[in-house]
Amino acid sequence: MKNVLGLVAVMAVLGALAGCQNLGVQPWERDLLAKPVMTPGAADGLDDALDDHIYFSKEASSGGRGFGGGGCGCN
Amino acid sequence: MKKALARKALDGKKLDGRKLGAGLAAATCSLLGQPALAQDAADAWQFDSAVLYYSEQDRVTAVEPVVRGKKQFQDESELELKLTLDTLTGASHNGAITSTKPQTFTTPSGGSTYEVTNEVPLDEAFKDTRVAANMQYTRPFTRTLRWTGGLNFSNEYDFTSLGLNAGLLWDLNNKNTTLTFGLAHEADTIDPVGGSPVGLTFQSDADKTNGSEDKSINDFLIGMTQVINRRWIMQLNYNLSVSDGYHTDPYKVVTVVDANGDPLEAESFGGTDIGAGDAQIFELRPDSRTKNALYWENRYHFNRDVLAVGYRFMSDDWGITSHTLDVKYRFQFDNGWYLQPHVRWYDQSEADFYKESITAAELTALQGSNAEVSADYRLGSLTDTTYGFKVGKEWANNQQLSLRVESFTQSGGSDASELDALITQVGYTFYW
Repeated sequence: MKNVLGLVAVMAVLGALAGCQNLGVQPWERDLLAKPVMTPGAADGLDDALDDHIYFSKEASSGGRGFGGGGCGCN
Repeated sequence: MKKALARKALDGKKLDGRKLGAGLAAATCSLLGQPALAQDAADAWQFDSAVLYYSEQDRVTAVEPVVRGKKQFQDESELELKLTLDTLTGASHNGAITSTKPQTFTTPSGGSTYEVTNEVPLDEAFKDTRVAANMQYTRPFTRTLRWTGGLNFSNEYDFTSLGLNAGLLWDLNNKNTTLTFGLAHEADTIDPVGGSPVGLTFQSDADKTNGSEDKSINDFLIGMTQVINRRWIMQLNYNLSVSDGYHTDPYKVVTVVDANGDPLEAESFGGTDIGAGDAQIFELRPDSRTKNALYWENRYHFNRDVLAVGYRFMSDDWGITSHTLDVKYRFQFDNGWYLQPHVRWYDQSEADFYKESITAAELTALQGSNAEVSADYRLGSLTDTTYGFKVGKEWANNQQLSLRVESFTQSGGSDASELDALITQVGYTFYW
């Protein structure tokens, strides 16, 4: 199961990558993208890390956004 | 900070011009539409600080101060240091059923017993302080490639964790695409209060082994961040996490019940009698777990406001499948103020070995095959909702002050899963 999922993910990334060559902007069009609020993972400062910690200790899931929670004996 | 890898996929883009001389860099940045202020702040440390106050109704209260310092150097490398303190007090569900009949438990240290009737059985002796330190360093080695490495340390009364990670960030398509590859290893040591219980034995017998237990976790992450257009950026991550070792919660029990669902007595199985309804066995979980997670984040910039939508699918070999949807909408006002409503929805299916309680026959079968069982509601079916808002103000010198207030509600198949909590957080960002 995990191998299949992994393969699907890799294929999805590679497929998307090929299609992505036509996407994007020129360097002078980055006015909005340059804002911290447009940076995935950094837009909300410490909120994401604190949220991941809360939900890791209250639910059975972790990871995805970055490496799976951990560093905590709470689950 | 473990998320730093994914985050760094984009950080480098903000300061493209810094390879050049200082004057030229400023010119380049303004050409890129980079706010001039970011240049002023470039030589300083950026400090993000926050205090989280998390409070569950009748259960756990946590106070968590965090400070993170970030510095970008002349060679475009970046250092990030983070310190977290986490103080927990209150009570936590001990795994047993909620019953109209009395149930008797021992405290984790084994020093005393307590009886619960008509309520979710809580272990009141829940107190801990966690200290965590993280360090992450990222450095470019070609025009399009950066490496990153990090260390994590965390310690609490009965748990120590040491982790390291390494990754590669690869910019493609005129930096409109960034690929992230990351590996992480974590070594945990668990030293339960009163010893490690022998799974499936009666709590009243206090059958425990001395010495610590171990767990190791290996993580693999592959991610892609893609600029779609001037307003839209997208991130897609796949994360595989394999852990081996001690996964059992040493403080959780499973109630053995009769045909009516009432708690049985340990002595009727030859166990030690410590009071009424003491047929409570220590839970036992598998010694390995493999998790797969797919994460997809979108950020869209309207004329002033920003919409962020994140979705995660997770599935593991314990039989748990979960969906998480996270939506934030930032209303941006003229004078640096913003208001950001947040909604999060989470749904999980139960683990194969989850049982709210077991019968005498099930206990015999479990003990015969040394099979796993847990009544931890966090492994049962769950639907959680969080909603709230964040309000903040950003000043011209990039200082930022924010307040976040959210309501978190859990609901599932058992009484123990019904939980309400309040999340409050004050944040302050400054440059120094």
